[in-house]
Amino acid sequence: MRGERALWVALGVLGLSFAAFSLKQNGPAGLPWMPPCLFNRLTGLLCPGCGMTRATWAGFNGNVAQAFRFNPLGMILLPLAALALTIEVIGWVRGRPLPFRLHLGLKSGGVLVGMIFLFWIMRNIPEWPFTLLAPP
Amino acid sequence: MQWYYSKSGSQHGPISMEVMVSKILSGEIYQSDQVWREGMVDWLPVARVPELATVLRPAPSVAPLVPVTGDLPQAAAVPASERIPNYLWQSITVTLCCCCPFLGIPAIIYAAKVDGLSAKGDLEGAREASKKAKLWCYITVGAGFVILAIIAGMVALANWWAAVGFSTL
Repeated sequence: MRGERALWVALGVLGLSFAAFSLKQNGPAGLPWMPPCLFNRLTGLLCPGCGMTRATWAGFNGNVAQAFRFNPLGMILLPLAALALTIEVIGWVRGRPLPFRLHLGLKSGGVLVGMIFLFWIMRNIPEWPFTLLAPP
Repeated sequence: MQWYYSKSGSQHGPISMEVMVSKILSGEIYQSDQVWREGMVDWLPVARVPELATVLRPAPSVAPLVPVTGDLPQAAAVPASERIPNYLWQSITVTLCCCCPFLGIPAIIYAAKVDGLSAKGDLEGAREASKKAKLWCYITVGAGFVILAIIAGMVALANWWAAVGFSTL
């Protein structure tokens, strides 16, 4: 059971590593299998996650400032989500949870959702201070 | 039943119930130390695990090695309840990242109910909501992969059309 779980995780890590490697090698424009953002295609507006492929690519190249420029909120939330997911996955593989876990309460969850919506609206306003939130 | 316990950041165990009880009574494991056994959702302090908390109560004469702070007796008085995972951050993440936000909404709604229900003492309801939040997270991730595959297929098809010169079709 645990061996099987470890195998699944290994497969997932392998897939992610492949995606990360081809992103680093080919750049954000060189990923033909990567689907475009549907929301952006249909409405022409930015979604809260728009720019994350480019931001991840900039991060891989050590350009953290540029990564934040492509999607500031995503660059804060993605590492947090990755950390939380890693903790859960480790607990799942070894069959008992780690003694520490990231736990999101109802209030902070509401604040988080509010922040995401605010970010979504603000980055679509085509005026100067707000254009800083949109990918250049 | 095999127990594990966590002390100053490192984990110990497995140990038997008898050893666990003797360690608690001797003060080697504090009421506030985190313990876990197979079947528990998450780690809990000794005082909040029903079968261990009962060990604590009939033996109040045992002097604790740590000065008892105000919140300890209160923690022991809390009705035995395990921490039920609310899956809130998971729900928000799958809603944002899996191409189908409408499927993530039920996950968020169930996740938002979990903490309130367990605070009210409705552990059955909280566990039910927790399970449903988890289920909808999995559904959303699954649907995300299906949508991803469809889009990737369509993009590949479009590229192939362009390559063989059927672009006017």
